[in-house]
Amino acid sequence: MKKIFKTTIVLTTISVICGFLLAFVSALTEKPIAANQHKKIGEAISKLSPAVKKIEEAPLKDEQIYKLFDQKQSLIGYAVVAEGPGYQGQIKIVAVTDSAFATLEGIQVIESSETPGLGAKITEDFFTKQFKGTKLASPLECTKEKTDKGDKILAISGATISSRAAVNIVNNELQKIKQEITEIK
Amino acid sequence: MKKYFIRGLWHDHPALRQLLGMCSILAVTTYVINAVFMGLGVIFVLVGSAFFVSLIRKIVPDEIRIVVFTVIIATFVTIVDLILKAFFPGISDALGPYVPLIIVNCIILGRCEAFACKNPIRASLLDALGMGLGYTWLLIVLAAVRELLGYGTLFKKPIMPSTYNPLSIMVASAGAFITLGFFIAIMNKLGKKVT
Repeated sequence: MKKIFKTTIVLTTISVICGFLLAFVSALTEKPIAANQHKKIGEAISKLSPAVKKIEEAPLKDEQIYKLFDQKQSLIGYAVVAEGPGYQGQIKIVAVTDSAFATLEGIQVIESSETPGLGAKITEDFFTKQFKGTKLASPLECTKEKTDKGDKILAISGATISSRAAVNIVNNELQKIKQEITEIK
Repeated sequence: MKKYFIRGLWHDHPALRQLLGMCSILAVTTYVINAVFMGLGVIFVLVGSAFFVSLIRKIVPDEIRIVVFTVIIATFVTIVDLILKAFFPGISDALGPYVPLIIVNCIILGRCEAFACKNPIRASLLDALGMGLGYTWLLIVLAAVRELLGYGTLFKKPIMPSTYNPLSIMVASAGAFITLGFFIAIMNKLGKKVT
């Protein structure tokens, strides 16, 4: 019986001390972490759409989007942060659309841990620029052969899974938001 | 006292001799800069947990010692993770899940169980520091070999002549196994002369 008390007390005390320590560090780092996340999204947006001067958060029912304004304070587009599983770990993509939410202005991969030399190429311009100008009316398709018909994204050879993952992540998020966005228009 | 510090660097090297902490070694050694920060993180966690484990070694009942070690290690790792995320976001992105995975790095639990929980604070600190530095130098050397051959760079600065065609395999998982295998083979060869 005595042993049970001792183990309980020791473990509880240590856990409480560790808990306080973590709470302290967490409070200290919370703001810089949020600021870094914001900065990364902001940088991606301004690279995709250099005219953007102001970014405003606009919460939808389930999702979070960003309204983009130019110098004259007029709405020029929306930015969306899409996340999903890749070949290895999560992929996080910033996608920018026009103000009607009908055409993609482009995408930028801000977080990924795909295979170096193969899947990691999804972050490179030659792949991401294919998304520029595609229509959002229907989901994008990922193909292995070059075609001129419709909005098709050509997969990177040797990295079909990563390419497909990137296309699916963009599709899922944009189609979801397309349905919700009518509410705030 | 000195021997506690020295042995982790060579004779009792945590990775080359005890073969602990392999998965993090294979995973993070694609860039030297990642290796440096991973090494610093592991040293901090090792020393911090060795200190606390040694400090409370007499009051922790045997039955719950592993749980207590894990709580202490997890606390230190989370601190490192948060600090990297807040102040070194680039490094944090590059190391990805391998920072939180330090929690289950067997070098740390291994040293707590095999040494810190049976020895006084000073010896434990020296042991942890030696093991941490031993792990770190191996990370840096491995990363230097792999980065140089796989990307043609060191600290992300181009080193190899522009005619050099980078060997992508060196920065993929296979390259990690090959390089580490060579190092362990060299260590075994040299080790025979020592013992």
